[in-house]
Amino acid sequence: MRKLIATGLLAAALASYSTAGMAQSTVYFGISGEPTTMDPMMQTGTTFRTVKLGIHRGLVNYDVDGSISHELAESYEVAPDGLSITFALRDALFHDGSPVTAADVKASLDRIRDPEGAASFRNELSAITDIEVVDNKTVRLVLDQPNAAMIHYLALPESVIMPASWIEAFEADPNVAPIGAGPFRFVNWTRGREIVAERFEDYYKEGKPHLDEVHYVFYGDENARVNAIRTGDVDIIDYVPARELEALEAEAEIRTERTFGPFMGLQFNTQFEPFSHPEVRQAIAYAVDRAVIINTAFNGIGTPIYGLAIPEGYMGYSEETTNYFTHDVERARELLAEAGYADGFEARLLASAQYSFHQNTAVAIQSELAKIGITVTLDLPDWANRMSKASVADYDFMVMGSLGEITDPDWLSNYYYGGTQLVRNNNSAYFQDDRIDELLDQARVSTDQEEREALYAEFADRALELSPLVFYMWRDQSYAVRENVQGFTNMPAFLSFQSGFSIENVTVE
Amino acid sequence: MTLFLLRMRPAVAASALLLAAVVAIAIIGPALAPYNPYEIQHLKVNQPSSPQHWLGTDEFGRDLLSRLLIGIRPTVMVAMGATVIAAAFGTFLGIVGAYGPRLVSFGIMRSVDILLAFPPILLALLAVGFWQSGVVSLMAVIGVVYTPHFARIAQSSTLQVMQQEYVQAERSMGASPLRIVFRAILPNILSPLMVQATLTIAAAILLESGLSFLGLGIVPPEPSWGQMIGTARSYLSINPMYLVWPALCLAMTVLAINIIGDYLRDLLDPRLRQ
Repeated sequence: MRKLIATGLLAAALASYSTAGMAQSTVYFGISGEPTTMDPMMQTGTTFRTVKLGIHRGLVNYDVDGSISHELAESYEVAPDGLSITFALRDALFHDGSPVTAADVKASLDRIRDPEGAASFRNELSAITDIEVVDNKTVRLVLDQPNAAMIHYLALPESVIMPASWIEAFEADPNVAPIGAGPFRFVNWTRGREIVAERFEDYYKEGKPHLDEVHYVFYGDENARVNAIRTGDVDIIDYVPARELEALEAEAEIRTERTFGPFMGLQFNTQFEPFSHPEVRQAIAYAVDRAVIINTAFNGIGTPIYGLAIPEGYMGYSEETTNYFTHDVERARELLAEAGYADGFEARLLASAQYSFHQNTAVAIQSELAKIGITVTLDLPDWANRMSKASVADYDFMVMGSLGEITDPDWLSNYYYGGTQLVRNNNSAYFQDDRIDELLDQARVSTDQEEREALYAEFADRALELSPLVFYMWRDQSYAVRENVQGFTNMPAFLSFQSGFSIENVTVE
Repeated sequence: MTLFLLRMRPAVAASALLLAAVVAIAIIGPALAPYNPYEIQHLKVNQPSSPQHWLGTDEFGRDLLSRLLIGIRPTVMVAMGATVIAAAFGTFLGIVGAYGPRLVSFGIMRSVDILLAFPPILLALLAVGFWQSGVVSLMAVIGVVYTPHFARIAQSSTLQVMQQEYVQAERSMGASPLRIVFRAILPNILSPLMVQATLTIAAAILLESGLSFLGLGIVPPEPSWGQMIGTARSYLSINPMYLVWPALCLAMTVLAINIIGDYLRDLLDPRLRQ
C-alpha cells in the first residue's frame, strides 16, 4: 500500500516537474526491530547492523562472498614483524562532503579503544597500542604483538569510520545526524516506524549504489513481518521464522535467501557442582537427540552438530571434530555414573520466553535429559532479564543461540578463553583451562597458516574433551526477498548478520 | 437434582453442567488424558485431527486433547484460588473500612481507590515482573489485583446494613463488634459478594490466560489454555485448529460462569425475587 502511495506521489511529481529520465527506485527493508542507538561502535543486534552497513563503511569490510573487501582503505600492509598494519586510504568522501582522512580513522578507532568507553569490541581493538597518522592518506596501527585476527575485527560493522568533526560535535547524541562514508546517506528516523536513507551520489564505488532510497521499516512481530512481505508492503525481510519458510518459498513473487549461520547449544555454570565435571557435560552432549530440537523448535529446518560449531571451510573444522559425539543414551548414562551421578540430579535451565525457538529448545532439552535422570526446571524470563541473568551467571545451564563474530578462528576466544572476565555472554561461566588459553593465545599471534592449523586442531581436541560448551545444531538464518529485487545476498555462515552490506548491490525492477 | 436443573433456564442449566464438567476434569483430568501430555513426539508435530489424536498435535507432537484436559487444572486452580484470596481479603478490608475507626477506614478505602484506578492487567504485569511465575504466585497476584473490587462492595454493603434495625438492636443490647460483624453483617452482605465472586472467577481465568499468553504465567511444559492460545498464534498458517480448540474451551467456560453469575444475581436479589 505504502509503495503504491509512493509510486503515486512520484508519478505526480514526475508529471508536475516533467523530469525526464530514470524512475525512482526505492526498497523497503522490513527489519525485526528498531535500533536502540545510532552509535556505530555499539553492537546491539542485527537490525542496527543492517542499517549501519547502509550508511557506514570501515577501512575494510566483509564482502558478500565472505572475503575481506578493501573499502575506505585502498590497500593495507602488515609489517614483516607483524607488529603494525599500514593502511593507504582511497579518495572517499563522507556524506557531508569532507574527504576521509587519516585523522578521521584515528579519531574513530581511538574512540573504540577508549578504556573509559562503552564500545562493544573495545577489548579486541585494544590490542592496538597506538595509531599513527603518517600523512593525510596513510595511517598505521601499532600492535603489542602480531594479531592475525585484527583485520577481521576492523571489518566488523562496529569498526566503521566517521568524520573526526562529527565525533566531536555529535558524540553525546549520535542519533541526530549520523554521517558515514557508506552508499546511503541518513535522511531521517521516524521513531517506531522506519529509518530512511537516500543514495549518496559521491560514493567511492563507481556506479553504486543503484537504489535511490532505502526504507528500513521496523517489524518487531514476526507474524506481522512475514505478512508485510506477502502483501508487498516491504521488499526484503530478515529473521524469517523457520515455520514460514516453506510457505514463503511456495509464493511466486517471493524467494528466500537461506544460510545456516547461528548455532544452538548449551552454556554451563561450572560452579554448579554437577557441571564442574567434564563427564557430565559430555553426557549431556550424548543424551540429546538433535532431531527432537530441530523438529520441534525449528520446524524440521536445521543441521545437527555432534561436535564443535565450526562451519565447514573455517579453520579448526574437521570431520572428526564435527562427529565427535553421537546420540547415545547408554553412553550418557555411563558418563553420568562415572562422575558419580548415576541417579541423576536437578538443574535449572535458563532460556527466554521471548523467542519461541529459545523456549522450545529448552523444552526439548528438558524432555531429552529426563531420559538420563536429569530433572530440569525451566527459567524463562523475557530477553532483557535473560541477558542480565547471564551476565551475573545466575543459571545452572543456559540455552545458547549465537555465532562467531568474525571468520578468523579467533572468534573461538570469546567462547572458550578464560582470562580475567570469567562470566561473559558467550562463554560457560567460570570455565578456565590453562591449556586452552595457551593454545588460543599462540594461535592468535601466529601468522603461519600451518602452525595455526595445528594449534586449532589441538584446541579442538581439548575443547571436545572438556566440552565446556555443548552444541546441538545450526539454525537457519533466512531473508525473504521479493522477486523484483535483485542483488541482495544473505552472506554465508557467521556473516549472515552482516548481510546488510549487500544493499549497495541491490536493484529493483 | 434433575428437577432442580429442569426448573432453571436452559442456558443456566447448560452452563451449570459445563462448569461441573470443567471442575470434574480439573480434578480427574490427568486420568482421562488419552496420551501422556508431556511426551514429545518429534516426528508427529502439528498434525490435524485424526483417529489417533482427536484434536491433533502441537508443535512438539504432544496430544492436544490431553494438553487441554490437564491445562484445565492450573486454569481452574488459579481462578478459584485467586477468587478466594480476593474475596477473603477484600471482604475483611471492606468491613473494617466501613466499621472501623475513621482514620483506618479512610486509609483503607483510599488505598483501595488507588488500586482500582489501575487496569488489572497492568497491576498483574507489575507484580509478575517481581515474582517467579507459577501457579501459586499467579494465584496470589491475581487475588491481590481483585481484592479492591471486593473491598468496595463489602464496604458499601456494610454501610447499608449498619443502618438496619437488627444491627441497631444488636448494638443497643451491647453485642461485641465481632459478634455484630459475624452474626448481623456478614450474612446480610453475602449475596452481592457471591455474585462478584462468580464474575471474578471468569475475570481471573481471562487474566491468567492473558499473562500466560504473554509468557508470564504458567511455566512450560505445563500447559494452560491461555498459554496454548499464545503459542498457537504462531502456527496459525500451519495448524489453525491448534488455536481454535483452547480458545473455544476458554470462551465457553467464561461464558458459562458469567451466565451463572447473572442467574445468581437474579436469584439472590430480593427486589427481583418473585
